[in-house]
Amino acid sequence: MDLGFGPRAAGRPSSPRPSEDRLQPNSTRQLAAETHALDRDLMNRVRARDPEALRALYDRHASLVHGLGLRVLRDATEAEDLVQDVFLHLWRRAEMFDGERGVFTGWLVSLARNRAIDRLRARRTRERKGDEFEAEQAAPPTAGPSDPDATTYANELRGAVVRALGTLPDQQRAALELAYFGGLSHSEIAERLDAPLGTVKTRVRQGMLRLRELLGEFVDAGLASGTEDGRR
Amino acid sequence: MNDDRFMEQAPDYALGLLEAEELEAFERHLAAGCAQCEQELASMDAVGDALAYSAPALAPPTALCDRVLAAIATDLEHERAGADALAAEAAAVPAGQPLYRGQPTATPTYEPSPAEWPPRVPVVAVRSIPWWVRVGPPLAFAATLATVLVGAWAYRLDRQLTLVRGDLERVQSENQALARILDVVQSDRLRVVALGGLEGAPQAHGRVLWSPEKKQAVLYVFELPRPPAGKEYQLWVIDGQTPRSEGVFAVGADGRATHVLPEPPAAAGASAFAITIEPAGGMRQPTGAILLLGSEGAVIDG
Repeated sequence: MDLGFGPRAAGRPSSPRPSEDRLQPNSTRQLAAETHALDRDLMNRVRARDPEALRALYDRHASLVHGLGLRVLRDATEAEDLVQDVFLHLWRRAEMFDGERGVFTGWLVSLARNRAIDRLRARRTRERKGDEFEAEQAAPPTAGPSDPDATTYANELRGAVVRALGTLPDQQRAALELAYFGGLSHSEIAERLDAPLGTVKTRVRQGMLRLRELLGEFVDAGLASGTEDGRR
Repeated sequence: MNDDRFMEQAPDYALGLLEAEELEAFERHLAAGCAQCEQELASMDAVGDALAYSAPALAPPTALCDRVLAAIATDLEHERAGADALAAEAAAVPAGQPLYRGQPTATPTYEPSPAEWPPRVPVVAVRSIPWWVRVGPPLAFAATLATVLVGAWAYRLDRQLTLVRGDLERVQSENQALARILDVVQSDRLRVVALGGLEGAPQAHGRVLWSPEKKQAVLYVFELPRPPAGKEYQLWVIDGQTPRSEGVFAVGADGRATHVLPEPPAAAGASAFAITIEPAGGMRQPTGAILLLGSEGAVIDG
């Protein structure tokens, strides 16, 4: 029986979007390409059971996963468990990553976010109460000190995302944060923000479109693996 | 086909906000090969991924890295030792999906503190002795030597401890899984839901043993092919309309899988269980075709 759920975006666009109108496309793309290529090589070595490669990936990305876990779960122990979960999964199921289909960090971030939200939902069910996740509505996110362990590209992206989010109207940003970090549905967000459902839907979409505009070069870099081999 | 509507939904899809029929329609549209929407979605996925970077990065404690490395070292030892029964059983359990979910965390609270090693006593003690001028230097040398030896010894102990702790965690999580399985099997009223293979895996079959009373359930699947690269099987419980994830699971080389449900349904009401194939790590809502399905439950009274 097929309920019509096809595989999610099985193929990806074969060519990057035009970026000639973007600022500094070359430097960012170059940096992204190097970063993504190194990650991909490390994953190949992980697949060949090289613990040093896993160690290197951990050093490069553990703070990203940990930070995401803390933001979603708001609990130090659970965030650490998440990091362990994600990196053990990476080691044990390295074949799951397909370097031809997308960049490693995109895969890693989706994996970490899905797992974090699973944990959050399990906790909500367990505790039989509304979640305690709060969007930081009042204050736009501030760029923390750049993480010395992270890749230069990650730090650049981090700065750009924080700046971009800072320019969104508070309500738009809050809706995006509740959706992304809180794993809430449209109607849950509407309830939380005390806004009509239609308004929330519009805020989320406009927020995402605006972010794409502001993050243009980074979005392109994340799209095409930063290399010309595409994702076919 | 109204492409505008789907283009508009790409951001929602990327954030996992589409539900039921909308989600299904969107997936159908993509499956029909709309390149424009695929491109839109790919860029929205990238925007979604970028959002993760707005959470402040924070390096986890160093002990965590040691724990991860110890666990993979143990994995490697097991792999090298060949696929013994224990390793096969562990592989049947989804990696990274802690079996103790829903239980108090199994993270050991004891952390050896390297700062306490080497002990500070000898050198200080020697220096407090009044005739230190004569006896001091040789004693200090001996103390330094002792300190170095103790330090090396402590380092080896610490490494061994890390390895043992990795083993212990594996055994603990396996034990917890076995305890939960036993809990189900020994339950007073046991509900058995048989799962049959559908089009994608006609030979596959399985069952969910479920004790609503104990709130424990375990899935057994047989003759299920290994998923293709980048995919994993995911179990869903369907209460009413909405499917709820019961986690992803791995299939052994023999086509068998055992999976302890992290959040088994509590109510004894009729529920269906479905298995789909999803992108690795699982999805929030099913996106792949249903491969196994079961809804007829037989109640066995003890």
